[in-house]
Amino acid sequence: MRNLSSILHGVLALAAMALLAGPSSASAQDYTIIGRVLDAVTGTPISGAQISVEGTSFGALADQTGRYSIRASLSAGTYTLRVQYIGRAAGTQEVTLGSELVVRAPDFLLREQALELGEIVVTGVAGPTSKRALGTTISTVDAAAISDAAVTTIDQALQGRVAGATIISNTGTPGGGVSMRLRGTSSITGGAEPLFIVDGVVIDNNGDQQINMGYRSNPSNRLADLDPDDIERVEILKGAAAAALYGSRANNGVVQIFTKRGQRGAPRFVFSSEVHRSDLATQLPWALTPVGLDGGPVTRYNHEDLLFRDAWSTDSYLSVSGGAEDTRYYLSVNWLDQEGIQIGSGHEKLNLRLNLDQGITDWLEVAAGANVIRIHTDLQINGENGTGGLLTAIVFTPTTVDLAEKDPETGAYVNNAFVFANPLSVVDDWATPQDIRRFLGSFQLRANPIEGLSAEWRLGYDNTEMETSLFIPRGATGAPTGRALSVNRRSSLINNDIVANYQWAYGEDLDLTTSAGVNSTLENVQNLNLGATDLAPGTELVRGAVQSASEGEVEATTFGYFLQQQIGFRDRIFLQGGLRWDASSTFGEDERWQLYPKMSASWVVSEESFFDAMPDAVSELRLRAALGYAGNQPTLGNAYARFARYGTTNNVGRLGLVPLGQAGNPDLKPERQREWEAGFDLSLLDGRVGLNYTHYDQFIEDLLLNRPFSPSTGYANILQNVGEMSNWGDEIELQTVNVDRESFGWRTQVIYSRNRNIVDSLAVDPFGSGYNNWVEQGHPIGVFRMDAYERNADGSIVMDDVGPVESPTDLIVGNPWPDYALSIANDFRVGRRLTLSVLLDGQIGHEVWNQTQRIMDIFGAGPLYDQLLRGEITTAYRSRVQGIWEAYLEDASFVKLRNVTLRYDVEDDIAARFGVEGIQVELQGRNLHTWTDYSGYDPEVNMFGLNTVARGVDFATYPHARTWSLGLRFVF
Amino acid sequence: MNRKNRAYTVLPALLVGALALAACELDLTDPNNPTETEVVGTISGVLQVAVGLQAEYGNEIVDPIMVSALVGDEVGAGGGTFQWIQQVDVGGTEFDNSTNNSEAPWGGMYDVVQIANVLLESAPEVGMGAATLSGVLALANTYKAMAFGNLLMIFERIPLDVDPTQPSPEFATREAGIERVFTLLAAARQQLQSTPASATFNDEILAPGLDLDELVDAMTARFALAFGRYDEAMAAAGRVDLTSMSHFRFTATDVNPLWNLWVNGGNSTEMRPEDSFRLEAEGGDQRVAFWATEADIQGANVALDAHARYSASEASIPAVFPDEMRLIMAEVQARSGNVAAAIGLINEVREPCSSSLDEPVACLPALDAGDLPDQAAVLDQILKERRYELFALGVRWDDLKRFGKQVKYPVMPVPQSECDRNVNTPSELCRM
Repeated sequence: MRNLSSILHGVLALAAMALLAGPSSASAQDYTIIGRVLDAVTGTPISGAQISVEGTSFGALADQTGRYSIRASLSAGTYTLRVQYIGRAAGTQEVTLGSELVVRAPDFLLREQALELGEIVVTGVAGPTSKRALGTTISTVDAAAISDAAVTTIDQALQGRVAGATIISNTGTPGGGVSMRLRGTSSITGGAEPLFIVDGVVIDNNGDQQINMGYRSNPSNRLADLDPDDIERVEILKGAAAAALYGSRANNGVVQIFTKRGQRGAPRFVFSSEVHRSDLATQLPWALTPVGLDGGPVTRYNHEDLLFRDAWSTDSYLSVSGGAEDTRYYLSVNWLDQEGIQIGSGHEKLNLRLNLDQGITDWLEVAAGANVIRIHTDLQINGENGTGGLLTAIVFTPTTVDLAEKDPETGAYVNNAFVFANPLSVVDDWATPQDIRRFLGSFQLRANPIEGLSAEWRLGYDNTEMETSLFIPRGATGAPTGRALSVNRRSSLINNDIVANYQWAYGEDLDLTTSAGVNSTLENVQNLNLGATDLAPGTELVRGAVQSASEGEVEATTFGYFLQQQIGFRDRIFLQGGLRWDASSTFGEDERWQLYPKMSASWVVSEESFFDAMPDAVSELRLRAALGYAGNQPTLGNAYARFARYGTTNNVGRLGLVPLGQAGNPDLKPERQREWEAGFDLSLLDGRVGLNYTHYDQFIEDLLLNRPFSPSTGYANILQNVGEMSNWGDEIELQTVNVDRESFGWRTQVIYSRNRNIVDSLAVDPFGSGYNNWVEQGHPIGVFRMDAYERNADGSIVMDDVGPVESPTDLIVGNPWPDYALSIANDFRVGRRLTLSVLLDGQIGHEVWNQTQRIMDIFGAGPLYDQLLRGEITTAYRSRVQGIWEAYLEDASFVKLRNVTLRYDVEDDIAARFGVEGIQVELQGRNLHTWTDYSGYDPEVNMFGLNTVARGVDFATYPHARTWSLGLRFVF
Repeated sequence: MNRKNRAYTVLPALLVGALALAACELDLTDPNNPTETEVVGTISGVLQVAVGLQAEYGNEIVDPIMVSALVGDEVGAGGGTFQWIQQVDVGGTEFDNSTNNSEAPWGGMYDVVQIANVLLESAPEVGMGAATLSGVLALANTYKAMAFGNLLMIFERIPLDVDPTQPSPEFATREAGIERVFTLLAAARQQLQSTPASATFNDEILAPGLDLDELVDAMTARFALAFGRYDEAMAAAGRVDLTSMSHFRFTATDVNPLWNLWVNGGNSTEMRPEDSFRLEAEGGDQRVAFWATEADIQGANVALDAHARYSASEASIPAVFPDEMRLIMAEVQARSGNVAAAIGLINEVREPCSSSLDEPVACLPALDAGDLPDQAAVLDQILKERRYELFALGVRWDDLKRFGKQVKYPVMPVPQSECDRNVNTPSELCRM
């Protein structure tokens, strides 16, 4: 926390600035410009549209009824109002400011449009910048796709919406995590998930599993804490070219989330309530043929029925927003009470948010945000944890065992699970709660002291306390005196930025924007582990005769400067160059300061006069290209790897010190990515068809790898910058407005992306991760290498009289990464009030290793065993197949009916009868169907969570639910 | 305030803010673990490393002992043990040098060497008192010698001058390796004689139960015998006080590594005394029960008994062992033709039926020239006595070789990890 003093300095400097701010200049007056933004065809309000006064920094967003109100300190005269919104053509209006201080502008009527280049983005650039000026692709996803989807986490809402993003729900555990990779994997030992920022606050997306409760089956991460209802917009930067200004934290891309803010006007309430019903969409192929191996009749039990249920959840949201004079506010509360489809699992989340904007003078404004999150999750043990895993127990138990059998004397479950504790008694008697208390705060001070100059100071704070506990009662299998564990993780992230932008012109043709900034981040994580055995009766807390405790702390800081220059020539050719110079406490002293340049060019060809010769069908064309560099720091676990360090040991009761196995590397530096991308944006048929194409190419060098030492040195390894890796691929987005009539509207979005990865150089021996993921030079990262079939030259499997023959050596036999991802979203509108959205999302050409089924077969519960019962195969065949891991490597290509939403906007007069302005009724289905050849629960599975290399393994993982929900939304 | 004035306010404020942020601390150190600079820069840090050296040796000693005990006939692999344990228990020409038979003793002993090197380099620099420094340097030299000695009893040749910054040290000749063991031990002895270790060192740094002067002599005698330097063995053994004994001790939080691996480690590393240890003993030899308890267990290859001594987590391992010294002297005498002197020493080992020390007693009748008519018979008897006195001390494999008995392997190959990463590893050392 030593950096708090520097934050205080920043506060004082800017407070001084605020105090010195006098009254506004005499010539300007405080005008209020009001108006509405409506759909040109149906007249429905367009909430979230951005309205700005051109040539000034004044602007506002349209609210739920399409209304906006801009407070602007301007001289009298005529100004141009500009409006833009994703999926709509931009519009302009003239407005004349005179003696009336409240001016009503004519309504904006916006048409649907497939491609909009005018959209403003702020992530990755020093100030708000129109997309047309950027040489990189920045994906944006707006509220309509996020807060309106029947999802409980943000990242789920992004599935199928972002080209180049591989987003996988790791597990179906309520509150469970999602892994996101932008343009492939950019690291091997480091983190590979993007940097997440909420309203300028860098947030913690930790995925550590603190207690092994089948931790690989409950891979959650902290992005799931945020409430999707609060989200206004998400901007996604996919690689170094776009994210260079984030320096040594940007290799994996950046995702910035913006939350809703208040608009000037009377308080506006939005209340919504959803009821969800979830169930298990598929069953595993259990061995239920009611015979024994000797052919005699045997009763077989389907244990899956004991563990799963239809789960009901409610999701309620209330917000009030509005503003008067210089103050605007947005206040929301969300209460999610979610039942898991596995018995005993559940998730409760309370989310409170207050966003406040306060004008101080006509050129100075403060904005603050506070988000308080309280989560309680009842996890269940699954996965590879043998002691108390639920699914684990049933895949390891023959179907002849009746797990529901109770001892008639004691009423307790007969502990007859084949290997582990009885799963039903685990649900009844064990406890595995997780509690999260989180505060996200942001404070921003914005100044526009003179025309063209804007400056902003931004402080972000994320404090997360997470406690995971495990309570095993006395008398449990493997823990006769009981066991209690509690792991507390406290993390705080503070970021502190100052950014200044100056817009100026040079002559008639050149528009210039010069930006500079400084930025610091402090990350601190503390862990406290408590444990007890020989438990005190009557409590589930960590109290017992034998106690243990340990504590750990990691701190890392990053500090950087950046400078960016943008040149616009006649609003058609744009060049941008930027430099980031940053330092991290994790780098060696001589390597501490790193320089990351970026440059990009954008040419709006359709603005050129020669473009008039093009057929009329081509309405807009832009070419773009960008090159940039970014870095990746060592993970927090390696935050001190630059030092040779000592650990404690014990000799006859005395404390001693010995060197740690990892040698210190004083030359440690970031992994460094070079990325270039190039592409075009094409708009056809008067904006009804939009096509974006991007090709990218990343080369990552100085990859951090634990390089083993020769043991005679006395050290095991050293973390060194030695590896090299490449990613390259293509992203295509096609958007069409197929029909846009008053009675019927239909638009389609198709997103295709493919990524190829190869490990170019690996200065260490090839190595494995997880069960059978493998890293080897010349192969994609994480390919599957395992006991394989012996194959003939033509690829067919060698057979002998028993069955398939096993290869004498392990072979690389598959890839957990898809060849390509494809999603198709269709949005239909019937009349003004009825809409239907259908999202299909698929990943094609990858494999998942189905360890769940292998274990089921070995323990007499799986389909191969059932074949044996039916006399279709021999015992020898079965043992042979079970020994060949490749036999359980399955094609996991899938297409999912990810989301179907049917929404009806109730007529205004009916709404009025309920005393409200608007009512929406919504029926949604999520994960309704999956088309796949995969035989497990779901090909979308990843027991290793955020792990960079290990991926695509299914082992008694909590399955995804199929969810229907009915929602009502009132606006008043 | 006009616009120009605003700019005059905002711009300095931005500058001040930016400079304030630049004060951001980038030189963070690990709050969990001290850095090497912190540790070796202070007297207390160096002294804690001296404690750490002894702890490391205490933990790692299991690996050379395990190899010697498996390749020798002391312990056998349990039925559920790892393949590599079973393989070396059986012996044969096939050998996987990426297993812990080769990797573990190599890696463990070099960890000891590296910590000893840290002490030898840093202890003179921190300004500790001469008598304490003398103890620390003698300790480092002794443990480094013990590590090299243990390695040379398992491997043909080893690197001597190792350094964490040099991944490819040169391999020394076997002669140079053996010479180094005695140079280090002589340096330790000379150090302690010229400047006796301080009370601080003996009471607070040296492990309770150890006498460093005695340990230097006892280890000199042990390795001198093993490497055929009989005069040195005789002289060193003669210097050891035969009325006292010292041990490497263990506690509940710092457990005996033999127990931990062989007994506590579960099925996969279970190693137990072979039945032959009991069955081949002379009738009435009470030392058998000190080490092994009869049990009816079929191991992976041979029938097994249970551990007696090492069935307890806090059992200590003998360090300076008077009967070992007697048997060393007996062997040197026997090899020099002084059969009578040798028989006298053998009987000193055989006859006692009780001891005030924590050692096994044979309680067997004395032997005479009639029982042991010639040199060969005496030497055979010495090997037998060593088998029952020095169980699981890491000398059995070498004893069998020295006495010309059939052994499963002549030496261990250098581990594959060293072969892969040390370009100076002679390739012939990487194969059996």
